[in-house]
Amino acid sequence: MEVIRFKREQWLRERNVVLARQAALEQELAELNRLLNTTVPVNALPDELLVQIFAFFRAAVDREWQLAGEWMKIQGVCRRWRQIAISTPMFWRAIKVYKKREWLSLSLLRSARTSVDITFLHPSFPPTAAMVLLSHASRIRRLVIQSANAAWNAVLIKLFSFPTPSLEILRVLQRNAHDDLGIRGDRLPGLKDLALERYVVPGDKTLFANLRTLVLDSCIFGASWPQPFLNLLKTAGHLEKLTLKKCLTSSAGLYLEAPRAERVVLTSLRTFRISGDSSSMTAAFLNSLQVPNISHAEIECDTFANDTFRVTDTIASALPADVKAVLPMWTAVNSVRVTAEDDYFEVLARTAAGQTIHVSLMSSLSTLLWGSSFGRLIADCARLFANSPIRHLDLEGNHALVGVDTWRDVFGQFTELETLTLCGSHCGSLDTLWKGLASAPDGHICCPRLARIATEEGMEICFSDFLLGSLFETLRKRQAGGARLGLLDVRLQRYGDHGVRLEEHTRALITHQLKTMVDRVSIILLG
Amino acid sequence: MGDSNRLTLVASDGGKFVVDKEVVQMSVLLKNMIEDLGETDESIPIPNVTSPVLTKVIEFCENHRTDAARTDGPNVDGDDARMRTAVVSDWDRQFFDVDQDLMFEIIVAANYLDIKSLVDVGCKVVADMIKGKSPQEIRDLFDIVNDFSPEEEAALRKENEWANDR
Repeated sequence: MEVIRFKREQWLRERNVVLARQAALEQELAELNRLLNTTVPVNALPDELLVQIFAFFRAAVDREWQLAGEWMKIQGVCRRWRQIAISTPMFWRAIKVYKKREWLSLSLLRSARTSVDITFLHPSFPPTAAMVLLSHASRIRRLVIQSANAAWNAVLIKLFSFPTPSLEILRVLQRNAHDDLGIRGDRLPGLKDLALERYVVPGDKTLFANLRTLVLDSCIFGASWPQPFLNLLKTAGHLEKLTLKKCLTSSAGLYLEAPRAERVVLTSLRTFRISGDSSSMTAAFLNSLQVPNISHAEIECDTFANDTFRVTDTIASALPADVKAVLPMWTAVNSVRVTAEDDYFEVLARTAAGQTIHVSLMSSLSTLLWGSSFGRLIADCARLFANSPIRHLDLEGNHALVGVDTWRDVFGQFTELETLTLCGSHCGSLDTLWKGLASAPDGHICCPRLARIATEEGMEICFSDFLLGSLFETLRKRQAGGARLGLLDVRLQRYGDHGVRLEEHTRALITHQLKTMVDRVSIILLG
Repeated sequence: MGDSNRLTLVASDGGKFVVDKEVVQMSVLLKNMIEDLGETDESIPIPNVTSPVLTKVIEFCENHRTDAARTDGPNVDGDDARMRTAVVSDWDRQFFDVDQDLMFEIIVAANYLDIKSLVDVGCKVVADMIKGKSPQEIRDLFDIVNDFSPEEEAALRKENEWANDR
């Protein structure tokens, strides 16, 4: 036993000597390899150029989620590349964290003193690990938490009790409670972009005075909506983008005040979106505003929780009575696309300057009323845009059930109309439309400037004697009244009433006859 | 007096190149020198650039002489959008279809002469060469050997794990 023990100790000593030699050799080899690497062409580049190459490489990685993996590959090439990668703080300033606190700590360390953009993407990241942010509060430029919770809120309340002067963008989303994060303008003087989901809206006016973007989703304003929020908006003189989603209905006080004499005028606002609330709440809220310089307005409602919606209501129910006072651009709208699909209504309006207004409404109508919804919508639009210089009108829906009187009202309003585009899968022969276009009730020609009527792909007009009769009569009247059409571009079903097949020679004959009343005619047979 | 619109550049190996001033002025370094010198027949020495490299640099400048002036270099401050939109044309790619020695010498020369568009294109071409490759494939591409010590390899493995799991 003694001999064995002696031998073992001797071999262990010898082994340690070999291991030490091996370690020294490995170090020596690494150093030789490093020297070898100094001789290759790519490493003749100075550090500043490798930094630029890495910067282009980072920008060239197509998908954001691949970046961390790809970036680590660069660092695994050789010691010099790694040294440059880890000692360039700018490469570490955009920090995306899922679960690993170590990744957050490493990135914060390597980003040195540069401002950082931090995004927490996953609910499983332990909020307590985010306490490390407190010692970096002064250099956080952007903070996004996509799945906050009560523990996270405690961290944030603590964080915002420190001055966070660099913070420009803050987005916090949570699924549960409505907490107050205690955000104040004096602590976050640089905050320009604020997005909150399921929080109490901060009530600090100095905060609103700096904001450029405000996105509130399912947030609450407190007990006496809407005046406190409107008072805050009054101070938001720089606000360029405002998005409110499900905020009006979820607010604690649902009392709607009467239209006020003094509207809150948001002169800097360019993009405005309100969605997820009932049409009556939306209309009442809009009535308190004026947005004179808007480039895009989006108003999206549903009527599931609506107390005042009537089955005959359409888009107009989501708009304030004096929509032009709220959206002065309304009077400059010259192009409108109107869509009604069963119980869904949509209007997209444009001005010549490229401003857009998008209004949509999910009405939950009973199926019995789906067929007539399109007619009610276009009648509403005719009234809403009565004083707008509409030149282009696109109509998508079930044209088959729209009566002559509705068409007369519509065309009677749009006196400057130049193009009419029709779309929708149900249209019948459109004979009521042609009749409506013939002349106004007072005998004048409707839409005297109308130069082009076209159907979009998917809309096939049913061929019938009604069609021919009303179409020919209308075109004759328009020609006689000095309003000859420039282009008629339609798609006809090959099989008309009672299975009558429209032959090619008939199509040619109809085209020939139409050309006596229209400059250019295109008839496509389908089916 | 020679042609006042042209001047002579002298490479480090003595090679002489007569070029239009307009072309040369894509180099901020040479543009400043010309402004300092005023009207002169003197040649301008380019001590750090050999004739083959200077030939390529002049070829690039002549091809891009009508491009809008670019005064801003690639931004490493996280302005990814700007770098993402940096365009490398087919001609540029063809231009850099040379051996690696020459390719990197051109980039270094462009950096020395302060020709931002050439630096940008060169760096973008190299970045595209790296993209999608493993560390070993990048080493093979550039004749680099793995010079990490075992300890450094272990640290890298750990960081890789954090990065992949984040």
